[in-house]
Amino acid sequence: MNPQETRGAGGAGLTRSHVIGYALAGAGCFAYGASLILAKQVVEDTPPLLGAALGMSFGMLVLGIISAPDLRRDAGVRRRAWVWAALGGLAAGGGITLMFQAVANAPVVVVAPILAMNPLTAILFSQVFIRGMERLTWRVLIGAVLVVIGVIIISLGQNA
Amino acid sequence: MTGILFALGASTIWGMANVWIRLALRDMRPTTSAVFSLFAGLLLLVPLSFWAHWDDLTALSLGALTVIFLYGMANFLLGRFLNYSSISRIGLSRSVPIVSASPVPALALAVLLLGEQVNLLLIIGAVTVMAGILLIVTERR
Repeated sequence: MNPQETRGAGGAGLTRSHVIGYALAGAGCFAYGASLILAKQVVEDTPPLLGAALGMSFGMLVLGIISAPDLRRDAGVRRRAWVWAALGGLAAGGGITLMFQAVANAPVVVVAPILAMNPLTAILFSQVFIRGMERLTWRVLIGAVLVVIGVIIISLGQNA
Repeated sequence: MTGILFALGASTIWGMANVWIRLALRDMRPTTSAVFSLFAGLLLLVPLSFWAHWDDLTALSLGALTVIFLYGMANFLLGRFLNYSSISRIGLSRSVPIVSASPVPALALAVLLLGEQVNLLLIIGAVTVMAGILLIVTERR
């Protein structure tokens, strides 16, 4: 990966890399949105935890095959990077497990707003642990708060 | 109360997951990070789900497996890869809120494809989310 791209997140000027980054985030948002629709179909026939584990297995297998050359090129990266990625994956998987437990033990109208806080916890932790890598402005923080509020309103609207 | 604690735990751990991935992306390509993080997540999810739902697993129909496959492609292949690619370019403070706005396209798809009804709360929520994203992407650097 080009280190210039990562540094760009805290630098000045809207570069081509930033524009691509925003477009990728938008595409990711759409992909997750489509997966929410598919998830509704999945849980009609399959327990959610099993559906998530199988879906994750399919995703990993196909992405692993597509990106095999990248995996080979990254084989020699610092061991620390593998540890961070493993922790990130374990935490994401653990989050899914906790989410299902939460939904099983409390109404969705209570659980969904708490889960929607995730971007704010991510920003909070980024400012605590990797402040040097993440430039946070009031504008971005207010934008993130608005997104969270909007998602909470949508989850309440879906359960109204 | 238990459900709230689990939800708080999920939200917290997901927040931390993004920080760890941001650190991994300093040295690693988004594709590698996505594949390896999925592998690590599966180490946790597969034993748990197979232990809890073995009978359901063996009874899955081809139709159900097809839907799960499509879900896996959308969420864990496309979603995660695009999310990590975005974090590597614009940082998690800007990427995570945009990616987390997924209920908005989900709402649009549900209305267009499934014929679901919208109410005033859903419209207000979607407009609020879009306003937040607009603030983030129009930031002057």
